[in-house]
Amino acid sequence: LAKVKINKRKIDSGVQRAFMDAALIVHRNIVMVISEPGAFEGFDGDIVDTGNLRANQQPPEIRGNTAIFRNTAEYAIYVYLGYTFRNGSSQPGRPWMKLGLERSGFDAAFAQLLKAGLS
Amino acid sequence: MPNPLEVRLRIAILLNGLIGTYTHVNDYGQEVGTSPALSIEEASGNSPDSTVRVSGLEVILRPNLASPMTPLLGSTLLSHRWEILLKQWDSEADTIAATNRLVGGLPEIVEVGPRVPRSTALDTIEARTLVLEFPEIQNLRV
Repeated sequence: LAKVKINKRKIDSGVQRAFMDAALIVHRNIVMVISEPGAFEGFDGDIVDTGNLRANQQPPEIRGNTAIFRNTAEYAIYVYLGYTFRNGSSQPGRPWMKLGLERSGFDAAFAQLLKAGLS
Repeated sequence: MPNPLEVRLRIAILLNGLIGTYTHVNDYGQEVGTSPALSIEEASGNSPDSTVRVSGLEVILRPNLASPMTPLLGSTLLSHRWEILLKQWDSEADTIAATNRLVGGLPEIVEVGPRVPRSTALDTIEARTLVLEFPEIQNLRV
């Protein structure tokens, strides 16, 4: 007879910790994108105007197995998704959170952090 | 992958009675005709034609925006991503009814974007983007 046992509590806490740390990496990348000149095609400058948008980028909210990234600036949705003026001209969106997430390599970062946390 | 004109037709049927109007004007600003405000935007991204005035709900179909590839059992799965952009030029109306009809009638819709509300401060109109996906398998080895 041979037995193998896992330390479930250690694994659960390692997963949670790695998830939170990976979410923080995403958050940092999101904030970097906001301040990065030329991050979006067609826009030479960065998104920062008064610094309000960057200041309103909230830290990730962890709900179970979901991390929620949110910006609470009143005009964030217009910058993020773009808008059309009544005169017909339009401004394309600059989805900084999506880009920050793409750049973060979340899955790889999570796997690496988890491995480090469990070893 | 479907023909954009076929998808346009399906949208026209689903949104019967909701679609606004393009009013075409000549160089002197005189009206020369009208058509349903339902158009297909080319990949280059057409800017609004200055000889067209829009009223009510405008629907813009953007075909072939991207086609990410995924390996699939020796073949390739292409996911052709299209968009439907809804713009509501009537300040008394919204994009909700049109969104509900499209979601109910187009199973290819994989993402419903949030409503970008009109803003009197920015002088902008309400808009919403829906994403469609048309999967296609290529190089299938039998």
